[in-house]
Amino acid sequence: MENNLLPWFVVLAPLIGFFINAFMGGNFIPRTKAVHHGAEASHDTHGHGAHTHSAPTSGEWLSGGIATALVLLSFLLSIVLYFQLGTISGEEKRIFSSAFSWIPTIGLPFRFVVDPLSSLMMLVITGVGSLIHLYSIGYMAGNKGFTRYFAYLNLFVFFMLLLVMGSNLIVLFVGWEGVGLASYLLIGFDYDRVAATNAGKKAFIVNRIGDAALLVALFIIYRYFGSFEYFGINNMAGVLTEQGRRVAIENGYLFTSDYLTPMLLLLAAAGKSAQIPLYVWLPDAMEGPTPVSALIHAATMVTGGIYLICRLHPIFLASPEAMSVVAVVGLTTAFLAAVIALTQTDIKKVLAYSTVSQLGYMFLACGVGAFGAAMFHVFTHAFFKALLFLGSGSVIHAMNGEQDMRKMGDLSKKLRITCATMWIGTLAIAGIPPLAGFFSKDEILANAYADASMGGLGDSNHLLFWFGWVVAGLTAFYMTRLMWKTFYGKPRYDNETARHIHESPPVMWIPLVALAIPSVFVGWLGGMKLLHIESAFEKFLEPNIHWRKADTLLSIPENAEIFIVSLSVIASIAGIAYAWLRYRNAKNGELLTPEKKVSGSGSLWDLSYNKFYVDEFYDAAIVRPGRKFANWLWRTADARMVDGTVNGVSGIIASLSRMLAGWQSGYARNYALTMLLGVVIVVIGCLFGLRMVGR
Amino acid sequence: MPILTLLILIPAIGAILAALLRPAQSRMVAVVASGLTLLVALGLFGYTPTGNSPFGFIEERGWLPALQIGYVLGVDGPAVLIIVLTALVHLFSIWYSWDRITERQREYYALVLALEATILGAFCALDLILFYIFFEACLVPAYFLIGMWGGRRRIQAATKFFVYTVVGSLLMLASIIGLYIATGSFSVIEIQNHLKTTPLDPTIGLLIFAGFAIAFAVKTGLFPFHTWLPDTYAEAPTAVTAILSGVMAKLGTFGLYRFGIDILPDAARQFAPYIVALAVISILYGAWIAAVQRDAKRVLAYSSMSHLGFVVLGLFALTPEAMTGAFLQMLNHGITSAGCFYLMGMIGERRGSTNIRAFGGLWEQMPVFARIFLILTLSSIALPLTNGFVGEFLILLGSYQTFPWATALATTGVIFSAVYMLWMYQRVMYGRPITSAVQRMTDMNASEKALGAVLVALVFLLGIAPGWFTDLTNFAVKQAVSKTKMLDDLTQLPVGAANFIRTPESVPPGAVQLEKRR
Repeated sequence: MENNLLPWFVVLAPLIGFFINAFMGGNFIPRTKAVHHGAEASHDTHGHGAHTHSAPTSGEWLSGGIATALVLLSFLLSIVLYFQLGTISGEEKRIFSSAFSWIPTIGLPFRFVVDPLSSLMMLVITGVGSLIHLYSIGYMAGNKGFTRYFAYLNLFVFFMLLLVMGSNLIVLFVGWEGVGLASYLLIGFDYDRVAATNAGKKAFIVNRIGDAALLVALFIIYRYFGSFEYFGINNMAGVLTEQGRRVAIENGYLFTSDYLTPMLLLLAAAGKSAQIPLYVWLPDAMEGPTPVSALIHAATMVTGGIYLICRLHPIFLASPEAMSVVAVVGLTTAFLAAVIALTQTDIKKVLAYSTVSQLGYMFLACGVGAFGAAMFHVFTHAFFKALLFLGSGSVIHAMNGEQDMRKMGDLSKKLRITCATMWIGTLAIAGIPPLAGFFSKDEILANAYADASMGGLGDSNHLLFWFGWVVAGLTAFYMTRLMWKTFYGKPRYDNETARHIHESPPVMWIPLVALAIPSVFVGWLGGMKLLHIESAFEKFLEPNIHWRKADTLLSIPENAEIFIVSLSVIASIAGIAYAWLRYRNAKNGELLTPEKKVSGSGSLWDLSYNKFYVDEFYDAAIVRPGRKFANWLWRTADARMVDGTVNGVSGIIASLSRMLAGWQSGYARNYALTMLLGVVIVVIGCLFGLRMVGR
Repeated sequence: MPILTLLILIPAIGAILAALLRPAQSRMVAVVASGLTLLVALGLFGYTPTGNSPFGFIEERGWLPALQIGYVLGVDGPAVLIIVLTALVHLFSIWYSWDRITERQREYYALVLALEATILGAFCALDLILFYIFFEACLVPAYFLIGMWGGRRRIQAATKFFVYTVVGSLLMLASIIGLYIATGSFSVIEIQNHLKTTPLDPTIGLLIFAGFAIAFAVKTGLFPFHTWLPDTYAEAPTAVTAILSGVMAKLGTFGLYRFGIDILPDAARQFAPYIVALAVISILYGAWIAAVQRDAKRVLAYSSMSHLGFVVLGLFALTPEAMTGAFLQMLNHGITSAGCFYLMGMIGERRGSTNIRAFGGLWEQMPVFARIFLILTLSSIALPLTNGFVGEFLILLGSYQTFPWATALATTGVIFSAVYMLWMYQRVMYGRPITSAVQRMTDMNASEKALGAVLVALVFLLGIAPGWFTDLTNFAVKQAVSKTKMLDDLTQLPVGAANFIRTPESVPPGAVQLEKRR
């Protein structure tokens, strides 16, 4: 289908929302009142997010309502497009939007494509997005930057849709950088807190490293494929088409570029999706308001890297070495982040590292060629991780801005809905059947198992699988730890806070319930081979990407499948049970005594608690030497060497000229004047000359 | 109608009027004259190449026939863009100066208009001597503007600026004479025709090229000829800094194209690797030093150096994409850089300092300013859909085809531009307005808001519809690139370049089957 206008409306709806809140926001909420709230908000927080407990005012309902409604509109239009897609028969299920010529020099249109892959992402972004918008109305009520917040949030949805809907890599890049901007603005939303603005800046700059890599990858692609369009345009070659591949090979794409390109793309994806070595920005990004963490830093934006890899999977498949690197990066990140999550005390930090870890799983799936499984995990993870973040937001809201789990406990009776829905999220992410996470994680582990047995990265020891399995156990452990420390045991807060604790208003708990439902059920879409349930998800994505790599598709025997399923269930249950038992008997909710923690410096606990000192390492190895070097460039190289040479030369000339022209004043302005006079004389002379010649 | 002569005459006459009338009237004259100039300049968008030559609106009169010096004016696509930019930035600067310049108004506006006339003359001139005269003459008003209305160390800055450029120009004069001896003409068109049939001796070509290249490198502020730039930009009055960085520096980049690449394509190809190296050094060096500056104006000055490095890289990659990008980027940089300087000027005068430490908390204090400055910051770090992106992207895309490693290095510049701009933005805008000096700062007034709005509109116009501007340059780019024969050196032609060189419109990328080229 060509020249469909509908995709434009999907994209423009949130942009319109952005403009409404950006330009008219001031009319919704009287300024004096907002200022009053702002002052209040800044007092009663502990530095994270602003919390007041006023119910949303009518102006806030209007502002947030418009933003929510427009994202909801996008969601409904995305559903329409989803069904339109279903009506297309044949192999190529694609709807192209109408286009305008954006960069004619390279024949580049601004155009969208809706195919199963982008359709899936659109539904997740706008679906989960509208719930989080709704939740935000309650969460942000009374914040002085209320309309600004919704303007940014709409802007984010706009750019995220560009990212997944672009029909070529440049529109993707627009979205790619755009979500980085929205993320920057939202992380630094509390502009008067240095920690927040620092975190925003860090996120943008770290992402820019990935973006630079993506740019170079784009240059290589242009060099060899001659196009940025995925599927070509006017029957011409595209990056993903067979014809495009042929053109590229004729141009000499093989042997170096075929490896270099996916590696650069991997670095780009590692930036956006917070993988080693660029994951460091994501934990800091928790400085942003919690709904932002749910939408941008868990459910949607951070899956952009996975989307990129899945979208360009033919480029990755062309290089087995690059695929292996993807798998190893993913698994290492998954493992490292899970270990860090074990000891974090900030509820959002635990979830942040959990997100990094789960994204690592998705990279692992991509690396073993199971792109469909990766997307399936993107899909299920979006629900339960958004749920968990919003749940933690509800807790933080109740606790008056407190995020430290050491100061929580015993909240289960006071926050019944939050607690119940968060349990669903926890069981889902831990991989307890039949919740959503079980299906998607199991699929990834099965593929990792099959890959090793096919002589992939590891050997017949199935190393990828075993490490992935350990991560599953760790996940179950740290999530149970989070639940226990937050909701059970003895209360560890003061009386004043205790009086304040309350369940969140409906505008906040309705999204929690709405996300809990799919977190329970969507797993079945992935099917279950053992029960002979077909994978609806697989069938849907088939035109884009394969569920499993073709050669591993049939290679997992049924008994191996039973083995994998039972092992992963054992890991989950063991993780939960072990954490539960240990924490039930723990004093004050702590497993280790303070003395043990101190004496354990250099121990695994210490490394985990201090995040393996990666930030400190980057600071010492890159940031500080870089600053020193720049200062040296400025004060020594530039001022003394370059400018010094110039001054030296001019000094020599000056002394020469003093000898020769002692009678001159030495003021440059006199020279200038002389020159001006000279020009005038020449011009006048010329004019006279002309007249003479004329005669 | 001799539209180009008109273009130069309007500001020139304006300058004389401004100097003669009463001070209060002079700024009115300046606005009218620069506004009219802009209208005439916009008329140049009707440019089409004439036949085989990229030049349009040609005016040719004998002037000094004995010396074969002619009064020849004409523009090609790139010149049209840069002329429109010149007219725009001058109008903006006069707008900005409106209620800010209170002393010696007559002299000020007369000099600004004289500057505009001479710069426009240089962009239109198709005779080497005529160009030289304009090129030199514009130094004079610039010198006085810096020296009389500048900051504390204005005299040193002005002198350094003046001497630096004059020394460069002398080398250019030698090259001009050399070209005359070799070809017997000062006319660009005639020289080009002559060189088509009888090529220069390669050594002489290189020498002549070197003279031009150094003069223009100084004007551009290319490493290592840049040390005049930070002092000058920091000391000049804001409106003049905007002109210097937004327009005058383009005399250098434009000259590199007009008198370097377009006249001496063979020498340009041979020099290209060295100039590309200097360009990449400029990009990174400027960005790194910008990141440790204490003064906001100096951050912008080094940032300007870094961005112009991109332009030079784009020119000397000698591929169609890169060169198109370079011309677009000249326009973009003119608007963004001038815009940033105006904004810095606005808060600088409110606070009495442009030291970054002097600020903080302006987001709350000056909300409208904060948003406009944010957009210009994003434009400076080349965020897509702002003007900075398309130009920078085309430059890098094109130069990757001929200089992949240099381009990969240059691409890291996008990281560092984010580092210094976001760092500055954070320090200036975020936080709380703690000091009383900041608390006294008021948001933009109506005139400032309007100027900001126009800048923002241009940022997005150029970012979303760059085709309106790049279409103008296609013809000239195609000719210039094919003359250098750079692409012939490649064993394989990049797909995109191949399409562009052969049939720009009819065949979309990826369609052409490639042939191996020797």
